[in-house]
Amino acid sequence: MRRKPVSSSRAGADAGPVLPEPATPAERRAERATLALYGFFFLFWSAGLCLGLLGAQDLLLGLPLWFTVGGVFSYAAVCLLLVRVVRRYFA
Amino acid sequence: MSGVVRSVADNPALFLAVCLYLGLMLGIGLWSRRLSRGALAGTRPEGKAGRFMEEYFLAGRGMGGVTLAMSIVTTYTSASSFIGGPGVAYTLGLGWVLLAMIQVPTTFLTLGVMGRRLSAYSRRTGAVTISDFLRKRYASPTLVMLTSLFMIVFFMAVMLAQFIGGARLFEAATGLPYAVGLMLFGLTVVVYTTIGGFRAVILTDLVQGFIMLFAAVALLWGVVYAGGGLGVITEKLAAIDPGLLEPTGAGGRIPLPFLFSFWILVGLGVLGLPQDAQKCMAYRDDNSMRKGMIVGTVVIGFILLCTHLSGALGRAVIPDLPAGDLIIPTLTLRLLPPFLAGLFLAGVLSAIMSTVSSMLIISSATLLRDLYVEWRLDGDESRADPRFIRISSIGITAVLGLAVFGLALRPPDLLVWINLFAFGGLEAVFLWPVVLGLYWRKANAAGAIASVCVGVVCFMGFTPVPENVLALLPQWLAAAVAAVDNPLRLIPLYGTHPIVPSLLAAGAAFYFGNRLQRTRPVEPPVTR
Repeated sequence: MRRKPVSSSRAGADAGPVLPEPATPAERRAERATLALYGFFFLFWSAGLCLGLLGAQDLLLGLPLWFTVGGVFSYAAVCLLLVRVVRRYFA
Repeated sequence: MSGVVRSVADNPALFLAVCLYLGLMLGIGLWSRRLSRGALAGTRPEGKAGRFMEEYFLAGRGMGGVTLAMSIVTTYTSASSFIGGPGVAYTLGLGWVLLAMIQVPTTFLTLGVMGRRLSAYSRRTGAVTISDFLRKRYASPTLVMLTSLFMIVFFMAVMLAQFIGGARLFEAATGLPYAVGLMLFGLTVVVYTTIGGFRAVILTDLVQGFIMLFAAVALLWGVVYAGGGLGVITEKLAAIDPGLLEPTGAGGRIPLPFLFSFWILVGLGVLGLPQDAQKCMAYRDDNSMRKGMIVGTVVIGFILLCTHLSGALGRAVIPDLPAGDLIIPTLTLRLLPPFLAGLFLAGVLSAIMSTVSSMLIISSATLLRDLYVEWRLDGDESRADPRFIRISSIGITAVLGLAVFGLALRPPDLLVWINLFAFGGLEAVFLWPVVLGLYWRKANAAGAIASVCVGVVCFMGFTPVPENVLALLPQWLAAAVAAVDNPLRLIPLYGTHPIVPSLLAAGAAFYFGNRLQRTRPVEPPVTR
């Protein structure tokens, strides 16, 4: 009995591993921008932590300065920058 | 957590709000089923089985931007975001809130780094699950079997922890017995996931995301109002314990190496979580991804900030709770009007149910695709009987859900351990095979298998196993765990979380394992 032709996905598995297509330069730039934004958030967050370790306990918006910088401002900053990054690199 | 409310009679409005919410979720499940049937109408018989699986497990790859964002957010946030995390913030102070904020980039990192590549690859090869992706990328049945096995085991553990956490919260808030709470919300999630498939999962995620957002804001507003404003609350916290306002926590209980380890555990490590990667396969187009990145990041950060800050600041409002986990249910019932408290409870249940429903549908897809279609039908889904595939999809989802439900009826007292262990375990298994599979064209099956084995063994070895867990295991298994555990325990971790050395070891194993295999991958012209 003749077997039905296998599905395209199975054909790929039979032939061996299917490699991902190489990313375009624009895609690479978008991925690098994402990682750079992640690095920026890490630095902003770490700045808050360092302020805390140095004893920056003055109140800002009713919370200790170190927390307002590391926990609140870093979040706000990363959200604002994300909008720019997405518009510029993921268009 | 018992004793917050004595009975439903104390709070009929709260109970009513929760019942309305559960009814809404069931309604969405039924509506999704109708939508799915409409989407499948007119499909030719020979393509019906494959089309059904794509619809049931990926909602026809049609997820829009806001839906995608809410789906990632609600799957990622769970009982620990609303109960456990704020509970620790209550005990340790603002340091834990800062630590929780590390999770802000989760959505944009997952979508921005892996989204396009994983989406393009899965569309090109027809991959429906993350195991499907690994099969096509590495062409290794051993790897697929290993990863599927670990995924189902770890998912069951996470689902079990979520079920138990949800039922206990229900018990505490309504005064109803644990089993009744479990029955009401546990069966609701199993039923709507089973009948509506992935479409029900994402539509309920969307509604649940908005409820969670509303609940988090209402609670923080209530805490700040009851405490007399942020400045007053901060002064009260300083009077209770100045350590509550330090980044290293009360009593210095958040050491710096542990703090930075979380950049791996809940930061870069989330790239390996299969439940998030699955969402990358299901979005409609680039525009959806762009919206998803922005909305998801804003919402997840906002929810985490509100809930954790409520826990930390709640110490000034209710300073004498016997356990941190009680803070959110207690604040809810004391500060919010009953109906609003019921909606908040619905928000927490949403976080739990959305996590469970996503994992349930992925586990079911893995069993059907990887065990049945690949092994029994040689991967040729056109040979499958569409009726059998439809009944199996629904049946497997129901059986898995009911199995977890059954286990949760007799809950072990190991909730936090189970949850964290499963979360780290998933990262140890999937991070390198998924990320390197997408980014490193030389990555091969030997490297991936070595990475999975070394990652799991190291993570299990480095994670201290509680005595009560060992007592539950059969003797031979306890001896095997001890045999792995004891030598690895001699390696100093310098205060880091076990996931850090485990991922480093798994990455090294991938590299060296990769060098053992010399086969040349090919690129067949695959179109779909």
